[in-house]
Amino acid sequence: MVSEELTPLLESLTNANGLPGDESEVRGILRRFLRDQVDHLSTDSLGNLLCVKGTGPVRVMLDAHMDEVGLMVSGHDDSGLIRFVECGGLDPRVLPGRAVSVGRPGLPGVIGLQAVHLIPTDERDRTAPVRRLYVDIGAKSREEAASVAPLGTRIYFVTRFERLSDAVIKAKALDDRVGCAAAATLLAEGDYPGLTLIGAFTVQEEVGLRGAQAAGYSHTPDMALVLEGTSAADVPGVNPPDTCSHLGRGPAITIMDGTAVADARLRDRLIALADEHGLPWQPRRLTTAGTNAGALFPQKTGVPACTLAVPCRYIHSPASLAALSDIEAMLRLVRLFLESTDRGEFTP
Amino acid sequence: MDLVSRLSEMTRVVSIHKSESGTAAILKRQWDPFLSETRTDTLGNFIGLVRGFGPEPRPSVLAAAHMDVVGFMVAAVTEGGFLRLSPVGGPDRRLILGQEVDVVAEERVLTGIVGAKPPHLTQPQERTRAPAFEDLYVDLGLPEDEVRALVPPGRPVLYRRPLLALRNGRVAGRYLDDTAGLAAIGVALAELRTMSETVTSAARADFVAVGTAGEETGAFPGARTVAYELAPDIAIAVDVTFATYPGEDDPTTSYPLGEGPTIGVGPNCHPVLAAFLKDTAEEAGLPFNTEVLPGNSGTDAWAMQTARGGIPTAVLSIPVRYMHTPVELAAISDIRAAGRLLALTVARVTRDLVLELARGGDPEW
Amino acid sequence: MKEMEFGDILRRLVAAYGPPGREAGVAAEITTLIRPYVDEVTTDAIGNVTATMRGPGETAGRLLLMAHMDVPGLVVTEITKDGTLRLSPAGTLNTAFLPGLRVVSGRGTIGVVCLAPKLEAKDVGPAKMHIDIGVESDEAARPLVSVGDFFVPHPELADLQTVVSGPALDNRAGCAVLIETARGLAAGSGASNVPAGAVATTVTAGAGGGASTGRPPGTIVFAFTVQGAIGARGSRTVTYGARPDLALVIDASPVGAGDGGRPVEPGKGPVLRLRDGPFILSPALRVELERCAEATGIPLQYEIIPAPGSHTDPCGVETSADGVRTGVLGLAVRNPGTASEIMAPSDLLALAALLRAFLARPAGREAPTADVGPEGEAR
Repeated sequence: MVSEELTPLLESLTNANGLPGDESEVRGILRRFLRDQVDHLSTDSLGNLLCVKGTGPVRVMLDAHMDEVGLMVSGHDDSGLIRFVECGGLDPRVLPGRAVSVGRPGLPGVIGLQAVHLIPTDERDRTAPVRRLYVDIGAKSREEAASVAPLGTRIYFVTRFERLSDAVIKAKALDDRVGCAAAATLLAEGDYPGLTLIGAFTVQEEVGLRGAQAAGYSHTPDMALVLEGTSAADVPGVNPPDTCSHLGRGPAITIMDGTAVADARLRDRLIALADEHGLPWQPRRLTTAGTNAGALFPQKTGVPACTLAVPCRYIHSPASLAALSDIEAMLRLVRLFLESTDRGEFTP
Repeated sequence: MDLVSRLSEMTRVVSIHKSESGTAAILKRQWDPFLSETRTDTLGNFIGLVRGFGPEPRPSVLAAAHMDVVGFMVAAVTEGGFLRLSPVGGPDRRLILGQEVDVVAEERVLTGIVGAKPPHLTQPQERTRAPAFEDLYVDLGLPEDEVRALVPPGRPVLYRRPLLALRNGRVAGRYLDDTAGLAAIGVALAELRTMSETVTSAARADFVAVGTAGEETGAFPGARTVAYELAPDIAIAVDVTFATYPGEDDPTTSYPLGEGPTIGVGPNCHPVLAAFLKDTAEEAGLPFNTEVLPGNSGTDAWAMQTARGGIPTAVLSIPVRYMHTPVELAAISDIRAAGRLLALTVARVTRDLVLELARGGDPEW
Repeated sequence: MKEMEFGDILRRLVAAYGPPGREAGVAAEITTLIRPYVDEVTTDAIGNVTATMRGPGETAGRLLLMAHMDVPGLVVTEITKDGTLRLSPAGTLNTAFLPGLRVVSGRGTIGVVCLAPKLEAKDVGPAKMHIDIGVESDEAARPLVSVGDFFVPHPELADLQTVVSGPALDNRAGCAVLIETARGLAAGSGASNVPAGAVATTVTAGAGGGASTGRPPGTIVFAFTVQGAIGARGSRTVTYGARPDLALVIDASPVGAGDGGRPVEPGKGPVLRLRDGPFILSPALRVELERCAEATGIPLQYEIIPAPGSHTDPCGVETSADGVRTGVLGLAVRNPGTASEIMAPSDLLALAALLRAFLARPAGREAPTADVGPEGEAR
């Protein structure tokens, strides 16, 4: 069972909106959750939320990024329609016919598409490029649209958190609110005299691992665990080696990704702990794409880092799925690691 | 010296990364009257300080415009004494054929023509395609042994084009990217001097005017290191953006000439700082447009923002037509407006603003 | 320890295991090899090895010489039911050379890279290949291999007339050059920590052997960095820690990788890299290195690598902290990214001699001379 605190926290985190550079709503939830649970809490100029708990000799950072992918208002046309650009890597196939929320607190809108009857037959099997799509908020003029949704306004998907079954949840932005929920839970419950536990809730991961660079510099730890949501492609039409990870088989532990090779000692330690305690885990089969491990690793004189992730189907789209058992297993594995490191069984 | 002359002087000397010292020398000459201190650092950044007033430590505002330009370096000398080129930055391949170029030799600047296989020897389909850099060469009209002696590999090659004054206060020529930004910082320096002579105020931020090295390489080496070195409270990249013209009229990515600079919004731009710049412009009646930057702004601000534990950044851009060609075109009024906005921003910065920026502009902090 | 021939150093380095992120084996070998010649050897938190040679002059500056010590490998991403291993490349390996390659893992398991049936080498990428370790089920494979194990080409170094051939020359040859440079400097200084006999058997460089050596006045840091085969990783953090006044990166220079009409060739001397993606060598440092090469009679080749957008080792080094003067010297290599890389030992010894001469040069270490840039008056 996922700890009592985590599910409601994950629900409020995934229902909240936070595009790169606009993470304040997510940050606010985390701050309120952690305010009385940690010794020190601050926000830096980029918007990273940085928490410190304990004063032990070994500095361990738990990183999770707060931002999600979405859209930004980039123009208005005479009829009051809103043009937009992508912010972070999105699959453009998922955009047309979608309901969205524009700005904060959020105006309802839809992403329309020219009716299929009206376009030439040879264009019907092609994905509409983003520059041909509009958000319609019902505005009737350029002035009206520009006044309520000025340039740069963020546009969010409106998916609500839902439990599809006892085992599986559906939400947007599980990459990486699931990491935020896990890291916050571990920070809140943790009491490790041997450790200085640093919670780095970072910004702008989706546009280039930005926040973690600054957080890694300002709060340089002896080691870092990056808690993520990763792609699970255990779906029809995908060859087994290409699945990256499977729902329900435990957290995916990174071997290497496009930005770093996981620290060998950290990775071996996590695997040994999982095996020793009978926790499920799986290797992340994909060796490309990047996580904040790649941004933390080269800070100052180097930070050993390893990423572990909850498998999520359909990440970077408006709705993703995750298994509660995977979240539980990741939580327990990191908890075991912190306890064991606190006892001095693992040293940086 | 007026703004056009200053700009013209800069466009005459600019060069590719690691050959920025000529520009640094011009900046020292043009900016020196306004600066308290100047120096050049390890990577070749030119750094000038205007000391503010009031109690220390004062807030510091750094404005960076890049000194390097897109161009080429000599890759090799071929049989017959032709030069092969390696592009630095992103020069436009479609228009390089037939251009006159400056080949910067050890002691002097040589004139060359960019050539390729002549049209009557090319296949029809070759003529419709931009030539590949491997197929292009520079002809110096000199014998091979002389070329080998004069031009070792690595020397800079630049478009040759003096600045032209066009109608309606518009200028065109090579490398307004980013001499326009440097000129805007020059305007800001003069404005700050005028303000300190005419306006009495108790405190003003320190202003650091920087000509950065290497922006066009895409790795922003100069900005990255200067931001680390100086750790300013605010860092503003002053660069160029796309101006509107036929074929480039998408209002979401291009901005009209003469309507002032653009103020960037998006992840690379601190939201409170962007709003502060807009307020400053509105209060002073200066024109501007908002530029949406959903990711990497492609300016020095990208590297400055993540220096050390993070630095609040803004992106201020001057619209330029025909970017990365030898005939980049800008409106002098936009350069002036960018400079004035920069100066007014420096003048308005307070310790409270700096504190607000440092905590991410978060109301709940 | 008996003084080793340079060839033995290179052979031992090529034989050492060390794919990206798994450098402990080669790090131990390097530590053993360089320890006699330096004052201190340490390994940092992410696995970089730094060997420090302190000169008599406290204020004479710090020089950082670095080479990445990892080699590209193949990482196991899945063990299939029939006991074959799915793989993914870690670092740049030439795919065309993979089929039939004998590989070995960190725990000594030997395998062969196989191609899916009915495919030809030209049609395939790593996804169409697997490693056969000679077992017929995943159960049988498990004691021999785990997902996440890295395989590297089976190390063998062959002497071919004037060149050597084998895997891992990029960049173990660079590591060998650094060790040889340290050995030369230690021998030249007659320092007490040099083992007996070292001076007598020290190999002199094939070219420019007359270079004046002697323990330089400043501090020299030799760094052997991690994860260089997959980008600028360890080099950046080592530089941050060392805070040098100048850094020289030693790397392999693939034949045919550069811009322009004149490729580098093994046997024609060390390569001076004028450009490496976003990194451009400063004219002032170029002149210093050229003068040094000229004075020691060592021929230089030039190289320009365009690679737009990539963040290369020198770029990471140069932009560390508030900036570091940085240069790159290369060793020409044919067949890069294969198990049969080809280099000329004469280039390696010439580069070591050039480095020794550069480190021992009397002046020029303090302030950078003015860049030889255009001042504009000529136009």
